[in-house]
Amino acid sequence: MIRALMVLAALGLVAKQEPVRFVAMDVYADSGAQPLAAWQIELQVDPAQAKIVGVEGPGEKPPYYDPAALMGGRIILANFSTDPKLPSGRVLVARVHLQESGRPDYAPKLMIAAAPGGAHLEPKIDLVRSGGK
Amino acid sequence: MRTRLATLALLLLGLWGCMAGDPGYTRDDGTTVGTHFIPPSATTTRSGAFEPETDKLEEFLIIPALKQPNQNGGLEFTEGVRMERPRGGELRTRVQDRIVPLPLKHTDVKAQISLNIGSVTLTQQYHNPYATKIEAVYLFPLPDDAAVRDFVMIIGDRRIRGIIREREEAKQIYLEARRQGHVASLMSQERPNIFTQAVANIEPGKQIDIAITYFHTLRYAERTFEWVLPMTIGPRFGATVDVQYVRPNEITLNDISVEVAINAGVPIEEITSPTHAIRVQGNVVTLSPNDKIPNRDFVLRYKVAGRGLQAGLALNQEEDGGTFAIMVHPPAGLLEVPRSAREMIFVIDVSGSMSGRPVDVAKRALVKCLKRLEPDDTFRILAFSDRVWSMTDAPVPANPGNVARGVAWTEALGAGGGTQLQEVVRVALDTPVAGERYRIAAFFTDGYIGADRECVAFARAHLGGARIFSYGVGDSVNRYLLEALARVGRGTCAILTLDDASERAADDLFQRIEHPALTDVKISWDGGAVADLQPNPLPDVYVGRPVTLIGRYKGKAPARVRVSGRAGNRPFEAELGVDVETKVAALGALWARAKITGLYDAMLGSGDPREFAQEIRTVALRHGLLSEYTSFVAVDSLSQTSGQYGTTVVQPSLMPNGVQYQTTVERK
Repeated sequence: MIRALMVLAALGLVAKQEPVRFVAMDVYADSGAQPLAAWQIELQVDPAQAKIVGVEGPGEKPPYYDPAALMGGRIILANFSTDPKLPSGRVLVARVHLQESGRPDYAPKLMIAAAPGGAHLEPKIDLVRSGGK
Repeated sequence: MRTRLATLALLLLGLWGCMAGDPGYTRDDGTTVGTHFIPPSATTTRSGAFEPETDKLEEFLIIPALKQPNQNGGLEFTEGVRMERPRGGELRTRVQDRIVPLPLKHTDVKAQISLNIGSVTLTQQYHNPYATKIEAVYLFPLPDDAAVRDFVMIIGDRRIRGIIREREEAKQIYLEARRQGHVASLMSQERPNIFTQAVANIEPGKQIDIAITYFHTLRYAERTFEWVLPMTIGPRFGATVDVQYVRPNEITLNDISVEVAINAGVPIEEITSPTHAIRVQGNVVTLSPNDKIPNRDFVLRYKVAGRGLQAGLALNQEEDGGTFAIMVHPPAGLLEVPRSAREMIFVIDVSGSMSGRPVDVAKRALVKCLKRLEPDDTFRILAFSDRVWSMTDAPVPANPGNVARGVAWTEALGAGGGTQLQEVVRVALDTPVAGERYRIAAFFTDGYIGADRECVAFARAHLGGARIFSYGVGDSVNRYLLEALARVGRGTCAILTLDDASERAADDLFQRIEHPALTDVKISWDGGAVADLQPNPLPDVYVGRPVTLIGRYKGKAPARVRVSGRAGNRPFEAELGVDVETKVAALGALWARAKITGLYDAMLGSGDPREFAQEIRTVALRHGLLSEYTSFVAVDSLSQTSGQYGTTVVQPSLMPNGVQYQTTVERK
């Protein structure tokens, strides 16, 4: 038994127990010269290693999450704005607060986005870890 | 632009239903039905700098410490070491002429009403006036049909939307965040209308606001809508949830502001409140600044002009089907249908919590009912507190002599003791009905019992062919119990506030039972299947009292809807036209909330509650709703305070107006 564990450890198959911690991931969208008015993004992550515990936006109205998707372990976020003075370029769209219990990999996936007036957009999405260790 | 964005948002996630504020009566072109709305405000912060009274903490505070969660998932508190008296989790003023600030500083309520649906955003402002970190815990009431589906924690100008999770999971996240020093909040449901808010790691001098949004439906009868905001919790006999109360000679500073914007869909004739001083500007109502102590329900009534709200159907079309709500009005023909002979069982609560004005109001209403009985009726009067008294062993004819005896017997009743409601429900419902009479049990009570849900299940199981009419007596009654008794008893519920004329209750009751109700109600339409209609079972429809049914449908929205049923021995059928352009986004949440209520009712009467519990959990999670099996949690991962999480301070509640501390809380 001990030998088997030693072999597994040597192979790196016994994961080191990571402490539970709280982190924030900032989600940015870059739609170039076009301002971004509405968007839906999936934050792909292993739900066994990271749980969403809050979502914050840059403005007064935090982004929404899809509770039905969350039941299946998916984090789908969306928001929209009718503000006539929307910024363009790379902008923070959401800050996701998460409880991590491992070393998860995050991948953002754009689902849909639109400019004011509803024109289709394909902004670039990137993530920045803004809090936690 | 707004229209196209709105359409896009609908395509994205159906997120309109998640949004705070407007319950969502919008047309396809994006315009709002009816008059203007006031835009929702997520929070209102009070102006003025806050000055902590940092040297007062130890002098006044009883320090509880959180221990491990109890069996039903709630938070329990143990007594700390610096207590003045052995009563756990209490912060209070000790000196009569000094006021000590508590964590809850202010509650701001903004409501928008569209037709018969209310969208309410309630913002609680917690602060820390002490020298050390605190965790604030507050038990507070919401309407028992509130579909709570939005929760935002506000720290300065930052707003963090909370996440719905299974209750135990949310609690573990909260406890871990609290342990690590993060600002975090947790909202849980303890009973159908009692909720707990916990906010961890509030540093000295800091303020954290919690904004929650819920949808609910308004009561409508006789052209009058009634909107109710419960403000405090009555002391319940045998309660499993331990509510702390401010003592009679103590003062708290927390107050409340309320603003209600009404879009009735038709002109409003009159706006009144039987409970509070209000200011009315157009269709916007605000609570008077001179009446801001949260010690009783705020009841707002508005009467619509003309023939009132007509029968109609509202829809929220989704991908394949959707949700609908239909208001079924009593058919005009009901007035011509002869009624059966009645057996009236009057039940009056004379327990300690009814001492003083409540029992007087209940007695006056009951006496008025007695005087309106007709010669072919029979009646019996039961009174209860720790035990049950009966004027007679069996119902007696309502002749003048017996009625006079009943009036004298009622007027001689005094109040005191505990509240054993289930026993009197058994006595009222279990005895056989004499002959072909139609039994009606009318309860006059404040509903202050702990085992309210169990009592409802008992009534449902013992109902037989009877109907239950419940009359809540007091300024802050347990509306869940009273509404639920009427729901399972297929009757109706009325609330008698202490300033209401008791005659109104008697008139209300007799108007309902003077004529047969529309029973066996069914809804159908061509080309679509109706499913999961709530409430379950469907209620009877009484004269002057339309009911709102809410359900799911498959396929396309109908152009016409058929409502059928029976009035006496006569079949009844009516067709309604449908405005297919109307989108009512709140309907999904309201249906899910009604479904959960029905599942609770069924769960208590079942041998194995686990299946029902799982279904409640699934419905609540899918719709993002708070329930007894799901909680909201929010964590600010960026703020990490140092040291232990500090002292837990439980915000005490105010005793309801008219309820005596000595005969209720102190008696425990």
